[in-house]
Amino acid sequence: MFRISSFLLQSNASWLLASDKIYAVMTIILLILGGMVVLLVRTDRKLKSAESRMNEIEQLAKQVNK
Amino acid sequence: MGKWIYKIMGVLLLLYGLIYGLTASLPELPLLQQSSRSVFYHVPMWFSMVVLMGISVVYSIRHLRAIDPDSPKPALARRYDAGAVSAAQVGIMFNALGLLTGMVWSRVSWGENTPSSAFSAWWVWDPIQVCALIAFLIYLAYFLLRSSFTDGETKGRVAAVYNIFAFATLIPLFFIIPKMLPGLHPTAEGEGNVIFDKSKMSNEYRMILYPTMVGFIMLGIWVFELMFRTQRLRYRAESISADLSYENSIEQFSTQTPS
Repeated sequence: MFRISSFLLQSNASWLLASDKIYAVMTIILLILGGMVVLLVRTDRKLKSAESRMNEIEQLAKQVNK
Repeated sequence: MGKWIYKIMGVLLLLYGLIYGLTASLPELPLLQQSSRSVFYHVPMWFSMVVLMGISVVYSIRHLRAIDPDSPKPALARRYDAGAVSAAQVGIMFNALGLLTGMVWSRVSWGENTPSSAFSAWWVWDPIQVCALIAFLIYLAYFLLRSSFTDGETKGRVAAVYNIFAFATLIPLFFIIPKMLPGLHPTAEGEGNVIFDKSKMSNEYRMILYPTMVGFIMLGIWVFELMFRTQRLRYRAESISADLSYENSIEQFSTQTPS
């Protein structure tokens, strides 16, 4: 059995439907989210390579100090 | 791959929240109309902020324990300080976004008949609005405090103590004071002018709100992780250059000193 929310049981409940403006807003927000995710993934990769390079530098520095 | 799971989950939950939250047919609420969808993007900002400030205070406590003279791991102190500052930076960003989304929502729901140029259309001095602004200023002071010290050790110690008190203020500011005063938010004392009564919020709203909230928290943790790693890289580079310059100065000293 489906659980029916109390709101639906009210006879005068009206529904909010998506309109044209909402689709335009959604497109803009999705573009922003997509751009942000791309930026985060790129930063993640760049950091990973920087971390591995830093490990090498640390090894070199240890050798120099010896 | 394990590290990517929460990031992918976060993005998928946000996509669900954005697409379904904006296009789903929802029970209509009086006065709010389409602006009632803002609840999916305004409320998660505050939950994300509290989670990130919580992470920040945990790192601050770990920092204070690490700088203890009896600590078995004093070398980790700087790392914990980096975690505290990174989490606080992302947390304050969510605080600012919460204030901004709230102002936009306030403009269309409470200030509908007020001209956009009027300050009262955007800001109504509601108790929780003011408390959120105070929290923002308290955390701004945390960064100001950090920038006023040049010595890294003192900066970390003082900032960690301040951070614990700053986090403690969030409890009365968000969970006690707004409930004691009448206001326009659902958390306000008494009936007031509340339109969005959370106890009457239907399941259709909850089905979108909770996943979106988790999605925003995961996004916040992702950004925090990147900032934390950047900060740690900076510290590692600083310590290498300090070690090398120390070695160079000893070498120069030994060559210049006549035997």
